[in-house]
Amino acid sequence: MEYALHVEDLTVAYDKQPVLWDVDLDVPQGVLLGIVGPNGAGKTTLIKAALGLVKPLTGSVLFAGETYKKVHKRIAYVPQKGSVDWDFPTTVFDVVMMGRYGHLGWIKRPGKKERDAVVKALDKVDMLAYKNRQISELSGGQQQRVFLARALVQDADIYFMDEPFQGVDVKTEKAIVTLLKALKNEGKTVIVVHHDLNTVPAYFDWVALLNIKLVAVGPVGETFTEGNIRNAYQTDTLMSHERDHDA
Amino acid sequence: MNVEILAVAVLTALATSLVGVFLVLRRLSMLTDAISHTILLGIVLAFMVVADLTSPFLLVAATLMGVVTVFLIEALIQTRRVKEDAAIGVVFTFLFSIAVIIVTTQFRNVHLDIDMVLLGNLEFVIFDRVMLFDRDLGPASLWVMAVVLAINVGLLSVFYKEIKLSTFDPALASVLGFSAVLMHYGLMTIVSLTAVAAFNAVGAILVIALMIGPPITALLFTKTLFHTIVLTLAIATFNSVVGYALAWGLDVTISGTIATMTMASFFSAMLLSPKRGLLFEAFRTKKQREHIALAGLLVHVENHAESEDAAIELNANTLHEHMNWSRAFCEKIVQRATAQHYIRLEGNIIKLTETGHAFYRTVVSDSRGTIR
Amino acid sequence: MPELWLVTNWPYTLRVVTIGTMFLGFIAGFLGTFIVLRKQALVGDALSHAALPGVVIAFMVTQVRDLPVLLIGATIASVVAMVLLNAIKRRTTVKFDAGMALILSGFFGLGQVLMSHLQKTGGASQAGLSTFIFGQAANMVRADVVLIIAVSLVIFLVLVLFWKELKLYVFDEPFYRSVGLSERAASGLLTITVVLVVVIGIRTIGVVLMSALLIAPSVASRQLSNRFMVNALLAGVIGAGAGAFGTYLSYVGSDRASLPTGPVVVMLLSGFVLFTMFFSWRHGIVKHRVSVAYYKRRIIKYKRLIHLYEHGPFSADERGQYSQFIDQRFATIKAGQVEMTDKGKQKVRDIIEGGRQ
Repeated sequence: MEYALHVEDLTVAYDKQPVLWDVDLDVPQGVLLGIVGPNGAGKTTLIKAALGLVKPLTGSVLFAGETYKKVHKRIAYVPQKGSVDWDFPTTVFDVVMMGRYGHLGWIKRPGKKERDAVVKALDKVDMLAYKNRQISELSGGQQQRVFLARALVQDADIYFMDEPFQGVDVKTEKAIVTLLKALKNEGKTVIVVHHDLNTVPAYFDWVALLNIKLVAVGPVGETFTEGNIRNAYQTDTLMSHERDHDA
Repeated sequence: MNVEILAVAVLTALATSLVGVFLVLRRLSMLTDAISHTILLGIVLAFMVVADLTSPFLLVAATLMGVVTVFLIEALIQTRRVKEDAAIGVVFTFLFSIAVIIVTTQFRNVHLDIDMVLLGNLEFVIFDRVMLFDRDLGPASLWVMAVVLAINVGLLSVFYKEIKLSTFDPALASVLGFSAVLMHYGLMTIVSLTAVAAFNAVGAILVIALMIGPPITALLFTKTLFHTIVLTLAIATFNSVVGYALAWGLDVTISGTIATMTMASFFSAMLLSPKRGLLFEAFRTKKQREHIALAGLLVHVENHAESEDAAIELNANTLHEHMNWSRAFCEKIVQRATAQHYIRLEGNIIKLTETGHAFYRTVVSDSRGTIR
Repeated sequence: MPELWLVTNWPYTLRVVTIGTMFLGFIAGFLGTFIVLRKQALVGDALSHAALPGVVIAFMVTQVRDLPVLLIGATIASVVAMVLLNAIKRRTTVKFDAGMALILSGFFGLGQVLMSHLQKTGGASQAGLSTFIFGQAANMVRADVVLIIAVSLVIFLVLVLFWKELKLYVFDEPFYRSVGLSERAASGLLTITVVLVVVIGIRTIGVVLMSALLIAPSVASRQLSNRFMVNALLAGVIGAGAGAFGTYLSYVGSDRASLPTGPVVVMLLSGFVLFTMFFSWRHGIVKHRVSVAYYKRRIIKYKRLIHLYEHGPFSADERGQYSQFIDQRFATIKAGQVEMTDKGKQKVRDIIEGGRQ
């Protein structure tokens, strides 16, 4: 079958420190996948390598059988909230509009069609009332909703999100989960870097346990086991070589 | 007053502040400090080859040297052995000191005065004129700055969307297929070109004020990028016009007064801006504190109204001790609460009124809604 | 002038100037270690430019061109600049570097205005002030040097006295505050000392290049040692060495062409820094690049073997991909499967280990 995301032999190193080590990962279409693992496990790097933001040492990444360059319009990305300057002089509407830039290509300006898409996306995340706010005047949860709306207007087949629940209120967290599930039900593939083990079964239907190496990936019921979690959270997976495939 | 000088000053201010907006937003302000100095080495090296101070080759070499400076600084930062500011400090002082040594040893007879390079001289720009078929077309600087301004406006409006995105979120820009590296070096090239053109008129150090001052002043007021740019250009024009008028009136150096004006207008804006200005801020904080204190008082009264220690806790004479306020402040808040009919006094004991109860409930539910 | 190789043959002026630049280089390098670690390397640059209006006003008021008088003016102006800079940082969302750029050039512009006013109103001694921009070590007199030595020693003693606190402050400010020490005291102390060093330095090195004296030595010493105390002292020594050697070179070189002392010192210093950055035996960029490249090449070269190690054993049908490793005895075929040998496992562990130092 054609995987939404196919990662093969992916190794990434910063200087002489491996961050991802020989990762093989297949994600079928239409799943809501949580990537979990301890700090420094390479969760963010995995996403960045998939999106071509980090150059891998070895390995390849395919999206539905195509390279990233060919299908980048079908891919949406929600970076960590802290990766941008929230004092930037721009409004909620503007930020969400940025999601359309990829479809527009070089030089072309957004028109009515794009503005309508932005309004629709803002409405979906319940932020339409704030569309003319400067982004510095938003709470953490609202900022995350704006980022989410920006991903929605990208109208992609596969969504990558880096820690979307970080620094958001409970209400927003619930709202985001509902949205992610709705995306999944539309047949989209959603890949989320996540750090709270407790909520994994409730939020996701697939899970990948990562600690530099891929410890396990699969449906939550089969994969999210004590043995796998312990393996993923032991301190030095890189040097140890015990794997229990069927734990 | 000389209209030509004024025109050069305004054009220079517009061209520099326009690219400055993006430097400030990308947190590269101090890079202008480096570039504006190292372009001298570009000029010097090019002069050693062509031996002609008017050759356009000098402009090209200086622009290139600016880009090389950025490249060197970034190469150092990438090693993670030095922080950004230290890298800037090492690279630009090295290149600039080489330039100074070459000038003082090799070009003692050439008119390439280091003081002039650093300080610029707007007063003299009108003596270097463009002549075509014996017709005087105005000062060369005017033409150079006009062309540079046109280039900046042209490029920034054509690639407005791209540069905005890559400034705000370079990762997303790359993901969407707009190379952040390409945008960065493209921008640094026009910054360098602008600095080279401007530095002839205003000198290496004042270029920095022109590039950075108006954008950070505008940013105190604006909430969109487009408004920031428009206001930046307006402030830049204002600074240079007033600066020139002051220089003319006081008979002092023009570039200096423009830089001084730039700083003065920033600090005035810092005091007066309605968005984050200090005066308004101080006023608002005071109001806010009183509002919170009032709510706090109602909560305190409500909490102790039914308790045994009500007589102690709610005694109007000692209330300030329990609230941990100064007596004067406490009296002011009690007065305000009484005036708005939130509380009334029964003897010395404070009680909530019906209005007070209603307000208390909105305060409590409000804080539940807003606590994040 | 071969006789100049001997210090005892040096003319009086050269000796005086060299002592001055040595002390200056030492204290600037020593103090610079703190501010570079605080990521405020360019503060010195901003403050030295900001000193200009102070110097000019001091001259306008007193009509004296003595170093101490000008220094008082410079100190006041730099302190005002620092106060404004902190106000911008605390009161607005303007980023620190942008505030620095504004202060740097705004104050300098103001200084220039005052200077041009002085020139027009017939302040004949303007020449003495414009040397301020590039410094003029050659004109240093004994009193100047005495002042430099005195200021350097006082600053050195103060820094040593509060060593423990300042070290904590630059290293971990939140922790420093959590143990009840005053943030204002530490940042105030560092600011005042930086201002003083900048101020005694600008007459010698000049406004534009003064920052190099603060930044470059500590960047160099950081490449050579990981210990803070060693770093600071080494930076001082590097600064002193560059000061002395630069002065000497510019004096000798001035035989043929007048070599300005400041730029010569800075070129030596920054050149030395760039050299150590590239070629240091500990962290040099060249060594680092080579070893990283080697490490990465090994991973690429052995990626199939690593794959076998992590995901094997595989069916012997795939042996074609592993024939090279089977030849090298890193892998073997057993019971119809390709699998790792002990030698191969050791090899992969070595490859991983290569990155851990």
